[in-house]
Amino acid sequence: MVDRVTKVYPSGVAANVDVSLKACSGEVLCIMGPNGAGKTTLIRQIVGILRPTSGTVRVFGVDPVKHQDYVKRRVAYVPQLPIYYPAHRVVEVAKYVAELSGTHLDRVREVLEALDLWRVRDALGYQLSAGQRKLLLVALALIKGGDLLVLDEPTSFVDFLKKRVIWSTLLRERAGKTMIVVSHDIEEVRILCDRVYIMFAGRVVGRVDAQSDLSRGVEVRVYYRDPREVASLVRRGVTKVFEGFVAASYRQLADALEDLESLAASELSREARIVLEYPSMEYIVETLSGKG
Amino acid sequence: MSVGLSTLLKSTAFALKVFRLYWSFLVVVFLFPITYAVVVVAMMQGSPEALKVALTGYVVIAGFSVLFSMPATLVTEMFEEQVLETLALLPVPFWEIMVSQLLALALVGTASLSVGLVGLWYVSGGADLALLIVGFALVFSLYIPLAVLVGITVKSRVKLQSLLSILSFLIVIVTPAFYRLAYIGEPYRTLLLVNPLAHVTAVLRAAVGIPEGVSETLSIAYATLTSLALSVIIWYKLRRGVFTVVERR
Repeated sequence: MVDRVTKVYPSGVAANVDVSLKACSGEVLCIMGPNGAGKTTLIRQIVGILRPTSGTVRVFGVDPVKHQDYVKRRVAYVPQLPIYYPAHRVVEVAKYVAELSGTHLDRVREVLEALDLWRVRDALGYQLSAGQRKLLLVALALIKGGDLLVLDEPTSFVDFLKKRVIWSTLLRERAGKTMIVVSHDIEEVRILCDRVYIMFAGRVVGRVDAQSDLSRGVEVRVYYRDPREVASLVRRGVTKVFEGFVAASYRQLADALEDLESLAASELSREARIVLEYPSMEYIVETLSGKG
Repeated sequence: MSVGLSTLLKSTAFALKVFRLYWSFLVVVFLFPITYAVVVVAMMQGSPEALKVALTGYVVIAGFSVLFSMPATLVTEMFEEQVLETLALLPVPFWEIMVSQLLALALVGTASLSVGLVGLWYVSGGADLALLIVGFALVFSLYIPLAVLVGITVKSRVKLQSLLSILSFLIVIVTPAFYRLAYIGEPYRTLLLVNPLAHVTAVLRAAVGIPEGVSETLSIAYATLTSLALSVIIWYKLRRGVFTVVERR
């Protein structure tokens, strides 16, 4: 559980501002948002690598920084970047993690085969492609096991076919586990996630509680001193400019996220405040058809 | 302490496999000080004293390569954000991973330094074994905390490599590894004795019957206190967890 967490780095950058979210047992929770939205900072606080500036993070009821050993036993984590072990064979790394975790060695072969890594089991780390390194990190998390799987962009660097392999493996493994998945991939979210939080500029700006909401119309309100400037950045939605804010309507979440990427890359992302809402279907249809 | 010895040994064995790819480091560890030692012996025409000076110098300078440069690089890499994240995946505490990696390098260091110690024992024909072992232990107890402190302070592999390339020359000048401290006049002698490695060198030389004009007790106390001071600074820097080091980047 993340409760009103703010994370300000010593450099003064506020990576998370008043973020709250909760993952229920057995649920797959997804965190989406453009680059620089603060997703990885949030994840690092959940796994106890970073300490929040204010607010509280609780994992299985404990502070993950203070009780890191306990949290490490119960949480498996896949970092965003495919860091690897250049001088070790795939199977050596997998067995090492299995031995430290008390996992039966049969599980090593099972997971490596499921993720199509068994055929490269004798390759040294430096010989692997970026995608294979990422697959190996996913494999290590599954071999280690745990009640909570935290996956920071589990399919980045991975080709489309291997993405499917990861998704199907995670779906098979999800029974009895809670997962937190950071993703940019709307298809990944559709396949894996039960609930989605959308982040922008360090804040949670919206929440999707039902799978069906991913495919239906959505409205994004951007509060900014010059709403017309915001409107000029909207490419995929239909905008209405009001005093102090712009309301942009989209056919589906994926379109809204593309525009949020553009907004995040612009200067106004520092000051803009964003709210993502699911208004009634009638409202969206009327707006998109120009009758609103 | 919940960590078992077998876990530590497994992690150390795992860390040692790095040398399968980076075997050239092992060669350099031996070649670097041997090169200096050969030059010294050649210049002093192979006298027993020259051999003892060269071998004690070898122990101190080999220690710099394998117990300082390599551990400092390793610790710096461990504190790279992404590596720290990868280590977070492992079901063992961070400190244990660090200790196991340092232990792997200490094993390599023991092998490298033992060559010098065996040579000293053979050449001196009756060294003070207790003093020799104390000197050997001081090499470890000074270099490894210093390496950890430098590693967690620099936190950038690029910056560290620049620093190490300068230090590898400076160490030969400011430590009387390949020259006699006893022959240095004041005030340079006093300045050299600020360096704890000068005291370690003096202890090793005293063990093989080459007095450098410094009390062994004083040298042991000075080197031990320096090592303790370094350990306290490391504890202070890491007291709130490794993330505080990463955040200050």
